Amino acid sequence: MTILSVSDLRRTFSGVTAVDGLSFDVGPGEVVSIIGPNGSGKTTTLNLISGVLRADSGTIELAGQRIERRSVEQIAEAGLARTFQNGRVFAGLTVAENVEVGLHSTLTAARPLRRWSGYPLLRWVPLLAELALALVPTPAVLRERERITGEIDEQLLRFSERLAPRREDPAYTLSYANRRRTEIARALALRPRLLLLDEPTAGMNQTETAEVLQQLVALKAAGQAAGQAILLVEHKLDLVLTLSDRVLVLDDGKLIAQGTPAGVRNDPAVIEAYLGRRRAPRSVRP
Amino acid sequence: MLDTLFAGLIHGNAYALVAVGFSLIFGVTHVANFAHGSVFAIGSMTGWWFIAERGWPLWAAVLGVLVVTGVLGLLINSAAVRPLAKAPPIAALLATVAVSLILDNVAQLVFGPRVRPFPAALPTNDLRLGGLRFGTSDVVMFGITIVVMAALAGYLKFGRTGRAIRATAQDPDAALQMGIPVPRIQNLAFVIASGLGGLAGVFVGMYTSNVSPTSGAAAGLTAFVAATLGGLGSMVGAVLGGFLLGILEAFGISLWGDGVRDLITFGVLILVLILRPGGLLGTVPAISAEPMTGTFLSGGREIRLRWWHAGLAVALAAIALPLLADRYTLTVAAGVAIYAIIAASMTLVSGSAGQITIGQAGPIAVGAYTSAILTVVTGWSFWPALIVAGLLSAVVSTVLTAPVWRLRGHYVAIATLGIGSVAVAVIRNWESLTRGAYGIRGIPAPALFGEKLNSAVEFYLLTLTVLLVTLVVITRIRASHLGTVLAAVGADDVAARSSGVRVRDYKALAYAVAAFFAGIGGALLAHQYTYIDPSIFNLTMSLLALTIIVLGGLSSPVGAVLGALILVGLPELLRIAPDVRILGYGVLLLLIIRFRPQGLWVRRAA
Amino acid sequence: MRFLPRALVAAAAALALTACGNAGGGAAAPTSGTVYFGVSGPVTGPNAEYGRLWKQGFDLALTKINAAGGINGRQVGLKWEDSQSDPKQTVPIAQKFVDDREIIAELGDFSSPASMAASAVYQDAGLVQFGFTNSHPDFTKGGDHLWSPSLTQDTLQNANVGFVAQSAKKVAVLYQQTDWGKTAFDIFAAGAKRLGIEISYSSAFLPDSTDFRPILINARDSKPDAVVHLGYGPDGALMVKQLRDVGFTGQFFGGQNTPEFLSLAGPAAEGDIITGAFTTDDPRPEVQEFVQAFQAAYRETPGDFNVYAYDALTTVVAAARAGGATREGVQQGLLSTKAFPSIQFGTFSFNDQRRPADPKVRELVVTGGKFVLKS
Repeated sequence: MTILSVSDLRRTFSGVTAVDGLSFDVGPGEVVSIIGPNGSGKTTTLNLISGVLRADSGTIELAGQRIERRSVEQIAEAGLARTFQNGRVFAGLTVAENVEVGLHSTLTAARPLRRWSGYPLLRWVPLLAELALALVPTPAVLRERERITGEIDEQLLRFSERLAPRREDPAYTLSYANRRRTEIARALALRPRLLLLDEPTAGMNQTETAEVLQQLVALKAAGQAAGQAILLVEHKLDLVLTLSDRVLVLDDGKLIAQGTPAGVRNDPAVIEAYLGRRRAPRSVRP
Repeated sequence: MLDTLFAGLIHGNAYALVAVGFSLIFGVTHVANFAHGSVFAIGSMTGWWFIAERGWPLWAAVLGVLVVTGVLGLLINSAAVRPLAKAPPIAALLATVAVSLILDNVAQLVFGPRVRPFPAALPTNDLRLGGLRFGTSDVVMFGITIVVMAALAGYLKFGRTGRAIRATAQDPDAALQMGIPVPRIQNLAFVIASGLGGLAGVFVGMYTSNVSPTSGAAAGLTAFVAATLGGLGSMVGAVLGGFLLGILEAFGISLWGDGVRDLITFGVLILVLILRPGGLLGTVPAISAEPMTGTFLSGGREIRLRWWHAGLAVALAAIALPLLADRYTLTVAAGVAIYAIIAASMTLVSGSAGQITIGQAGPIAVGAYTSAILTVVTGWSFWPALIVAGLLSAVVSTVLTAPVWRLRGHYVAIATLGIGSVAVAVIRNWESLTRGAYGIRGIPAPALFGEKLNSAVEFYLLTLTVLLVTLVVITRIRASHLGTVLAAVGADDVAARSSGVRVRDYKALAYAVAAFFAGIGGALLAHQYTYIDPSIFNLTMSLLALTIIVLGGLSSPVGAVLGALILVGLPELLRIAPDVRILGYGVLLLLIIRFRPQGLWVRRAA
Repeated sequence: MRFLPRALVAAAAALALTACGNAGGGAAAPTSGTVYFGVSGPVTGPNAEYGRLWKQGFDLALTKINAAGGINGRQVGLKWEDSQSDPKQTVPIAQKFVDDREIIAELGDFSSPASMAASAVYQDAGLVQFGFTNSHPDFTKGGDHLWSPSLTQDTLQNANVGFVAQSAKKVAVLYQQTDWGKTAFDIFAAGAKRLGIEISYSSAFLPDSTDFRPILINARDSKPDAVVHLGYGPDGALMVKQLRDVGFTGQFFGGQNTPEFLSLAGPAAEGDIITGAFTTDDPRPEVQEFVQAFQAAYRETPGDFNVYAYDALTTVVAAARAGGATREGVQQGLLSTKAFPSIQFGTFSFNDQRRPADPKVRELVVTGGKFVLKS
């Protein structure tokens, strides 16, 4: 079953068409990268898929469910997690607490009756239940708290020794690179079907980028077994070439090329788009 | 009917003139300047002083007022707004609230609290329309309003620098880079707007003929409602909003009596925010991607209170104080505990969920009245009444604020202000249930196993116990997964939503918990005073609660206790005069926001 | 900020120590030195003007009392506490006064709700609460140490409606949406019914409103013979001015016998009628002596609230002279003295409800910018 299916997606801002009739699929276990010159609509696409922006027209399906009209939270609950271009962590929370938030939609004992959360008055029942269990936890809740701790550790371990020793440090004390790692760990805690990564190595130096690349490769391998797919926006071509199964090239909101990394690289339309703008794609030299 | 319409138009004119200045500042700086009303009051008092005491002619007095209020505007911008340009908008809003407290009370100290007759420098009743007499001064006021509106609107829309001014509001950094002198423009906006506020003070002074330094708060609030109704940032909108509000009030009062005046004013505010937040002519406020308080006000982590610190404090409070202190001190201490209960629960909303509330007087009043009515009228005993007071306050507050959580930015804070006022106005007018302005007297002392707890010591220990329970509850919530989620909502609600957290629901839940404890606090207040009436639950009470948590640290319940000690206990024990006290609140609030915005008990987030 | 917890402890200890110093013991009142009365009243806040008027009256009375030897040779003094006439603040102030053994009786507070909130404290401690401007009918019912020489709303409004009946069969009534205003309206309305006066329109108003035109238009349109205002000075002044602006030319009853009302209302107040006991053109020698002394001291014409304060202090001092300069003495003095001197009434005595017995209330009309007896 396709994880993500985008069809004829369109969005304009004050007369400017940011995304123009975009259509593509992402299959289970795939890593698909979106590249393109600045302003081609990459982040807008991610925002449309994750629900931060509403599309003007078109459809988006996540594991068979139509999500283009759903709210951000609903889409997350449906199994989509993302990181942001400028790296959004909860600054005052510790690393562990940041990841714990990602676990929110997987909790059951601490959040009973969640299926009522969508209804106008009924939603107060699960809310009040959550409040009651926060004050007086049942044994099931206590057991779940232990599971939470284990989950957090599992996510932190993906980043070797970077995050684990900083488990209890507030996020605002972390280095930039560690903050971005925390953000990814939080997204992974959701156990998403589809992970959206918006320039995960933006602002990192060579060494940091190489390390994150390794961690993403490991992630891809681990995720493939579970069918987890990744949709990645990136400027650094090395990353794109190493990680991706497929590459989508956007320009002016339209999809101008699609294919394997090698295939796309030599596509004349792609070269035209980049060079024609007098902009060279950023890359990390080895 | 026509007379009523005309009366509404004339009064609406007064609103419009004040609203224009308010909207100008918002349009240029995106700051809701709560000190605008104080500038208005200072304008009218200074105008009175020039004309009545110094004998100046009108034109000289107007000039004088323009200078005084213009300079005042400059000072406000320099001290409270400009330095907070990089901070979230709520910081500037709180700073202007602080400035308004300072200015209002300085004005009262300087001019004295007396109401003065404003001299009719222009004739005030020489003309007639239908059955209504009005004056040349009203005509001049109308003329000034139209000219000012047209001039400003035209300038902002068509003038080259005018469009640049609008650009600075949208994106000050970009504007700066394009060579637009942003600081100078913002200063200019404040000077013009404050001068307008002062001018309004003179002409509205002539219109009302009674002036006093205390008129600022009411004028500021109605100006704000009028400007919001018209669309914040729009000059024409502010004028339209002013006239429309005047007409709505006139007809509403005509139908239901003057007792519902504030209900109409704040009811309009809430309806506008719910149905059309952009107002008549404005645009719907853009979805703000920035967190509302972020780390600026919520700061980093709380200072850890070691268990033996806490134990020592509790021992002092529970054992040493009752043994050593006199009845007066214990009465004050009980008041401190009650405000600590209210403030500590607010930290869940403000600190954790990142939502400033400026209207806790509403839930406090609901709790106080519930407990009073249940014990006095229905004969319930204290403890069940206390619990029901909390529950009813939570339910009522939740229902009233339900439509508000989807708003963005500081519109929610403003909505809570409106809701707090509406709740009290409803209580005052619902006489059959609450005895309205008569108040409820003879509220019985609490009883424990049949023993009345009416001595100062006993009541104090009762409030201390409830405070400890409150702190335990709040702490448990914060230590649980729910607490983590709430803190995430406050830190960055977009990121929280992307993690699957239904942010609106959790904000509402935090607010419900805060309202529950506010209701409990209100009930305790009722049993302490033994008499309550609606005028007790005013804006000053809401602002006091807010100042307490800003002082202590928005996210810190322990800080709330500390804040209550400093802001409620100290002034009372030192018997500082109430006016000076409120002046002190303003100064302290401003200093905290400027220099230690995360509060006393929270570390700065690096 | 590691020192903060320690600072907190230190602060708490300091607080407790200052509290220690105030610990009220069971010591008896001192027998020599100045005799003190506590005054709980609005020095600041919306009712501060009344506190100012009180102070003028008190100070004038003090000069006279101390010149005459005070209480049995001991000078008399006042200890003021600013309550803003706020029920929240009158209770701690009451505690403070009760704990201060130098204070033998309390004067105040301004509004009935503020006083009544603190009554229990005074009554329990056996300290006389002399609420001399508290006209609420229930005030003195809270206990036998609660006294008020103030005309009750019953007396005032029944007299008021009687005067109104002399010139109007149909009235519009506007009253403050406060405890005071609503009580006044209830009594007035009952009296109107009894005397056959029709209330063609009535509306409550908020004391801080500045534009009464909508309700005054309704009042005018109901075609009354007279418009009655039940409220305070500032709102009364606005009301009488705006009443003329909406074109009503009939009789106005209302306002307040204070300099504030007269100066705010200006010429529009001419012909206004209110009920009261004090007027500056009362020919009685003690009244004229008072008026002259007041004008010499303050260069203002005295009004009701100056007189209330003056009479109140004179009364409690007279009680202390009779019963002794102690708390019990004041109570005994009030109970046993049959006739107290009074600027307002000549002499008056308390009935068994601790209210004035048979007070004389008169009709006053604004003539030439002053309140004079209506002939």
